Amino acid sequence: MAADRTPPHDAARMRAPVAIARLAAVFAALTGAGVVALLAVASTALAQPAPGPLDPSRIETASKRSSVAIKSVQPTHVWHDGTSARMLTLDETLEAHFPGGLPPQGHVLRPAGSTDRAAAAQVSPVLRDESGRPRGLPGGVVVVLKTPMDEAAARALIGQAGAVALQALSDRLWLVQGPIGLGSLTLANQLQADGRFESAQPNWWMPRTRK
Amino acid sequence: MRAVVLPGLIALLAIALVGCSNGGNSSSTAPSNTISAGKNCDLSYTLTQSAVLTGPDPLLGDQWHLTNTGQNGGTPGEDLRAAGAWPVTRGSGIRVAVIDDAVEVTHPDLSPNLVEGASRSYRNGNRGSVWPVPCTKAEDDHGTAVAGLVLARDGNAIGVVGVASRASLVAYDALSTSYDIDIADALTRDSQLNSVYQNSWGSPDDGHLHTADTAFNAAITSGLVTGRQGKGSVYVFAGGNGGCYLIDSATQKCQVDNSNFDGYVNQRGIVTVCAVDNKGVSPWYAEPGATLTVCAPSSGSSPVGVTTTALSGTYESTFSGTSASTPMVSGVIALMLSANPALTWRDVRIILARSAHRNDPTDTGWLPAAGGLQFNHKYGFGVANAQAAVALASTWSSVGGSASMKTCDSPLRTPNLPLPDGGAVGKSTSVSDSLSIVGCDISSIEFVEIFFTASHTYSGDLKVTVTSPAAAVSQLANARICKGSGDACGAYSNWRFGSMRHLGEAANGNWTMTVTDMSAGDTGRFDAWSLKIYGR
Repeated sequence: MAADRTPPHDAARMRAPVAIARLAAVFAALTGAGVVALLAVASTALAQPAPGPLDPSRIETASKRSSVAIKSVQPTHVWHDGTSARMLTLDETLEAHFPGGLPPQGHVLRPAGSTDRAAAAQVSPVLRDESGRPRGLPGGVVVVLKTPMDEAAARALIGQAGAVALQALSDRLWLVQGPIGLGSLTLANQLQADGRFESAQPNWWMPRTRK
Repeated sequence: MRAVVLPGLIALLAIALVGCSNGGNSSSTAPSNTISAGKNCDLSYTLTQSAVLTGPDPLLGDQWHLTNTGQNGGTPGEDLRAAGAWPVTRGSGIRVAVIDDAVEVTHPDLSPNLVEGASRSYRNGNRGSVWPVPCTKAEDDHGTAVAGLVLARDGNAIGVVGVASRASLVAYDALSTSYDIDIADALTRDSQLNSVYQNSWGSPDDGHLHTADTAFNAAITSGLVTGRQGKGSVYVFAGGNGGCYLIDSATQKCQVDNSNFDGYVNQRGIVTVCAVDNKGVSPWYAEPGATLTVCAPSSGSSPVGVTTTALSGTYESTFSGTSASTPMVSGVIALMLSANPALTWRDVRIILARSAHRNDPTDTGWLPAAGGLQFNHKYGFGVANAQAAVALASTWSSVGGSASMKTCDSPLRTPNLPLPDGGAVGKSTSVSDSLSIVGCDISSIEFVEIFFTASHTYSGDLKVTVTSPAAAVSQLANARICKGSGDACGAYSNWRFGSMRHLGEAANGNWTMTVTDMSAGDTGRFDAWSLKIYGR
């Protein structure tokens, strides 16, 4: 549906960060070099989009397939969302930073290579899903059991699969130990293939939109 | 944002903005007089004892969403009709969990309703604390505004009034990390004690198909089945603000997102909320969808927003979007559950639909629905009506919870029909396929999930509808363009659509899916579809 209307330009809130973030996300999805500086400026907005409706004066104009120069991207990784295999593409321009300490929200995404070596263990690659949304791997795997189990039985089952149970959210939903970065994706895929569980997926970080 | 700082507030509750210095605190209890602090945080809080005042709430008259008398140019009566419910209940005894970026639980209009020790912070550096308070003033104001609309305290001589002003508040700042596990934890935490989970967040409103991951779906299912001693947790989500996420340069028309493109809200068990402005009509950012349940007031095309709580003990008058509408519906639900705690999650949805106020009555989008109701893809069943909802809830005979809900699955249809290119031929390019539901024991539908697969070089070209045996049409997908390469809006690969539009209909009979290519230049095939029908 294309609405036969134009947006108002007297909205109550100005939301420049949203527009910047969207531009940056699109560019980051399509190109390699040349956007690092922009992304550095916009990293806060990328990590946590500003709430509410988009500022009407900043709605972008585009046409079908002609809004930007397109660089074809091929999937580089796969993960299992239940029974669905879902494709991911490595974003070489960004990395996701997951320190255990204090930095407040908004500083997850950084330009690739900007983290010093001492903090390298706290860094995950950024993978983009089919919609272009960035995803990071802060550690851990979310497992859904096939049937409800008490805690002891669930821990034993997860242990038999070679993993370490960390936290039960319900009688079927568990967090399993996994490292920051691609190791968690590998573990999730292993547990999915194991067949003991209804599903196993990485504990993804991804930005959610405040409406 | 316009902030109103109340004189005398400091006498009530001192909230000091000071530099943080103690490096954070992961204790489950607050250290002496300091609720949250951290060296990278801009804010910290000092709570001091103060006398409890009583008296009128001075900003109540500005809260047109509660009682619209025409202030700010609105249409009188286009509101939640909350005041009509308050003689019956203010929400006492009902816990509402606000899941957001942060909530200033020390706000003097929120703290009287706070359940001590029940909230949780997921934020790095504050993780495990029961104080999910804002860390930076620039980024963390959303949840505080949301919480005030649900349950800001009434009659305390300050500020505003929430829809359910005696309901109890717990707050989870799971958006501060936005980890799947934290979201899932917040959605299932204390599910025997929390009744309503309030969520003014979701997928990006950009026209793309955004799935909900298994962890989210598992959390929702867990709450529906086991929450509230089997009556089910009530999940309330924003329908979205994607009414004009992009302008097509060729036509200069807004491209419109659809709540059915958001996997968080296109499933059973979610109360999906839309927005109307102070005239009761759809604002420019409104996002339609067959999955919408009811609307509630919010900002519109004029800069008239909603008045609610803000950071540092202040208030704002410009809160906007479906983020503002959603907590109002959460508040209405809290009133309903307070009036009748035996209601299940299924009861809540049906009562909301049956009691809704039919706004914008001359809009041509209103369609007849079963049981004398009307449905509109812009408005769901209309605007939540607190007075009518509480009255209906008070005498409601429950339809049961998850355990008694019936489901019927259709066989998978694989029509494999070519989809002619739209636009180029200048005539209808619709392709239809039908299936028959027989022997299904559902005489009153509560929700329909429709799974759809098409192979197409540009899936955004496709308009998709499904027509029920009662000849009621659900508009499932609209055509649009999206930013990105290739099939930019995302492929329909067993994509789940949801529909509330068939509420109350019988399941058996012929269902027809119609797919139309609306734009020139791309073609494909209508591969497969199936139905999953929920009801009683």
